[in-house]
Amino acid sequence: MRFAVNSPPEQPGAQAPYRELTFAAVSIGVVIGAVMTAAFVYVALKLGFSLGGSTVAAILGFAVLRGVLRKGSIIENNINQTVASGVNNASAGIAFTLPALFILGQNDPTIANFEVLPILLSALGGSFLGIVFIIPLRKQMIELERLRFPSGIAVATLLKSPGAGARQAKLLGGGFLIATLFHVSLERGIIPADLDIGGLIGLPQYAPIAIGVSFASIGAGLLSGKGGLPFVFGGILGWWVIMPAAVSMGWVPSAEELGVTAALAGEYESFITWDVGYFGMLRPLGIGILIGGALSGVIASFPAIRAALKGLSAASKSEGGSDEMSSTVLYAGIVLSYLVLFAAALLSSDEIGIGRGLLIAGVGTIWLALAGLIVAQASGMTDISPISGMSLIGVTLMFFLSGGNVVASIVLGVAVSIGIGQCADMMSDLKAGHLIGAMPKKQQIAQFAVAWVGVPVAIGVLYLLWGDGGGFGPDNPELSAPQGSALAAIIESLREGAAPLDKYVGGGGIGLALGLFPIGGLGVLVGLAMYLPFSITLTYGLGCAGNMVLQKKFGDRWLGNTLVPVAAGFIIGEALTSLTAVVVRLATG
Amino acid sequence: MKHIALLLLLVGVSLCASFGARLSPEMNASMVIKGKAKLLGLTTAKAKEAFCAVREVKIAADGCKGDEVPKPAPKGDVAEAEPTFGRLLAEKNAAVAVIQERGGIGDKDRAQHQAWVAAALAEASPAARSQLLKPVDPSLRLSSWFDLAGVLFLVGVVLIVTGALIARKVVKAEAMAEPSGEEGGARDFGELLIELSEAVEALAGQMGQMAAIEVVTVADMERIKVQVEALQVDSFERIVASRNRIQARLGIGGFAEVFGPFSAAERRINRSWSALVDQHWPEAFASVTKAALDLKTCQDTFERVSAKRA
Repeated sequence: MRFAVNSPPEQPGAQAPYRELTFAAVSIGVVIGAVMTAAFVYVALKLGFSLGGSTVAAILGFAVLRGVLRKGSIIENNINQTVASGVNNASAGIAFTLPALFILGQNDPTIANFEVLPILLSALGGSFLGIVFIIPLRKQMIELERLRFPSGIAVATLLKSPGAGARQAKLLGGGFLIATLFHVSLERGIIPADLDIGGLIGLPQYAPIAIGVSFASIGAGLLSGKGGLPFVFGGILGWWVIMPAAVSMGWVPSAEELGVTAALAGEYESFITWDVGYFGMLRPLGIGILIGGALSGVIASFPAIRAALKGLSAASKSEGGSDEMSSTVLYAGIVLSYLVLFAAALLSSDEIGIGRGLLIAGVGTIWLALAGLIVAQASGMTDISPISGMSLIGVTLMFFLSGGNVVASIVLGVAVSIGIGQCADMMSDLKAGHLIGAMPKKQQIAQFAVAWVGVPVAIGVLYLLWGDGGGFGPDNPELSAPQGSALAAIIESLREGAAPLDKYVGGGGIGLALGLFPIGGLGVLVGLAMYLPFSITLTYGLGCAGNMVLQKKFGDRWLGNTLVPVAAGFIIGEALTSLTAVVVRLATG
Repeated sequence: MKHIALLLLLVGVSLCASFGARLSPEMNASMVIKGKAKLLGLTTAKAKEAFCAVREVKIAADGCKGDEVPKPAPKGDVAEAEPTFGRLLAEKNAAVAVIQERGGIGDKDRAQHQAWVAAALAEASPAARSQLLKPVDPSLRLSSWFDLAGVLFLVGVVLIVTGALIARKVVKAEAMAEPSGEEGGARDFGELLIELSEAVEALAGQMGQMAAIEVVTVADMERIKVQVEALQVDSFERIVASRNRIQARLGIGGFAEVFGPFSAAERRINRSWSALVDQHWPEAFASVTKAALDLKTCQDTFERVSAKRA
């Protein structure tokens, strides 16, 4: 094939412009995204978790753009997956928060009569705020800090597979098959979800050595390398230092105090480990460290963020414009979204006046920015997003600021949950975009244009499933809405005055102090690890160790050419197998 | 010194995290009440399960697995009175009495039935106490925790901060050290940047010449793609790997100014790779040309920032 590269466009034989932001990419992405949104709302209500859409969208877009239409470019497919995952973000944000309002309203008529308009406004405001806050953070996280974003790397590896050569395609495929095989075996009960090595050698539950059978976690660790070690350190701190110390020093209720007999020794250990240790100590402390670490990071990177904002303004005035959306869009987006959130707060309840509405919207906006930073950083370093924890803090903040108004708290909580999901997703997509050479501005424009689509789809599906009442919730075994039920329970306890303030403050102090160390995101990583069960952390740590050993033995080039496609295959294989397993489970009842 | 900083970090964070996690006396007391109720509840559940497995006569009211339990009557519009310990205990004891008075108990299931009744009786009072448990006031939690563990927690924080300050000094000193210049040693960022800039400019020139002389074939594009890959792995990634050192030398603001155009150049080189795979020569050529310009900007910025800091 020969190209006449010097012919001007109007002459025959000239090549068409390089396909990037096209109608085909956006429309296919919207359709895929809308279908995923509807499906993932249902999955979240049934199983309590949602699935990321980027890898699914990249593969489907591949099939349609390159396979069927025979004209998609690598960059164009990236737009498709950016759009699809951007639309799908609403599914988790809505499904994790809004069901709590339905559930609480069943027993409380003052809550039951909430309007849908403030929810819509809040969700839209949160969607746009999440994208807008990423504009100045992109440079910091992707270009300067060089956060890994393992899923972003996996998607980029997938997008680049046509040009990576047969060897890399085989490695990607091999990783995919290994992860698929293991996950299918797990789903069928042939292998356990966790390998409890500590239990086999007689260690107590509160000092575990457990490995989660998850090749996605191993893949994320393989891609992170030594940068992920602080995350493992946090897990070790929580489970091999704090928990054994707490038990041996008598900081937990003793067996004698609880009247435990020998027959209940295992249940006692389980109570100490999970009710007291994990939920009472480690998780809230971890959340505090996360917040402190993020605040520290914001302060430390303020000069860089300021330089990024200056750069945005300068670039938009220069000839040829900028590669990303301008600071005008950033500031206008923040102001408009804030006004939308203010309107949502005012409309959510008659008890919310102008002053309180301004306050709630303002604090909600600031929290969304900070939590978005935390979640983006955490997923950038480990591929794990503490969205539910950050949303919980958001709802708690709104609850106190609104004077205990449940409807207003959850309505604004929806904005926070969707917004921080958008932050993490957009950042991962921008990472993939950087690796394949996409123009950040076009990705941001595309996501901006479609961010609203998933919101009415997700809310509509929720109302449909609720029906005349009781369509989901703790009393419905088919659709128990675990996250929404948990949030409802937490709000009930907030109404009674419960909040682990000591842990948040203590953890915040630790996170701030850790932020002084010249290791980027140390506080965030340590806090995140304490927030999670050790089986997840340890598995990820094995991946990090694997990267370091292989890097020492074979060098950087081998890592890029061999390890990256294999690890990407692990992540993609498990994601697709999980999705398929969910579909099969739902179809067969 | 690095090891001292690391030791201070490990000891400090272990200390303040352990004492930070410690529960206040009020929270501990609350956990005792909840724990008793939960564990005795588990005992009752186990005893019930054992009875259900051996019961001679099956009665729906037992509530065993498979029994059809009648739906509870809907709550009326009348507001329920605030529960008290006495009322809750009476309700639970009444439920135990129903189990106790259950007919149809024979020799084969008597022992299990009695164990179930005993467990349910033992559970009644702790369960009632647990239901009435009010959450500990957040500010009381905070003040109580601080009274108990605050001093050692703060000692830990001081150790972390001291370790952090030492570590920052060590990192800065390492970054300001003269590059060794030997093979495998550290190379000055400025030198690497010039090399990279020249290589990209040369590639842009080569691509321009190819387009000017002849039409470009797929094999040509594949050849250029290999050169682009070499730049990505051998040149760009080497500079990225040394970014912490560069940041320590230029400061955060200066680093951001320099690495911005560098990253833009890297992205354009990545774009040229994608365009070559998609066989779009004009885009590939344009991207390499723009990358060369970005690297020139990066060089100029680096010289300006370095001069300012000198």
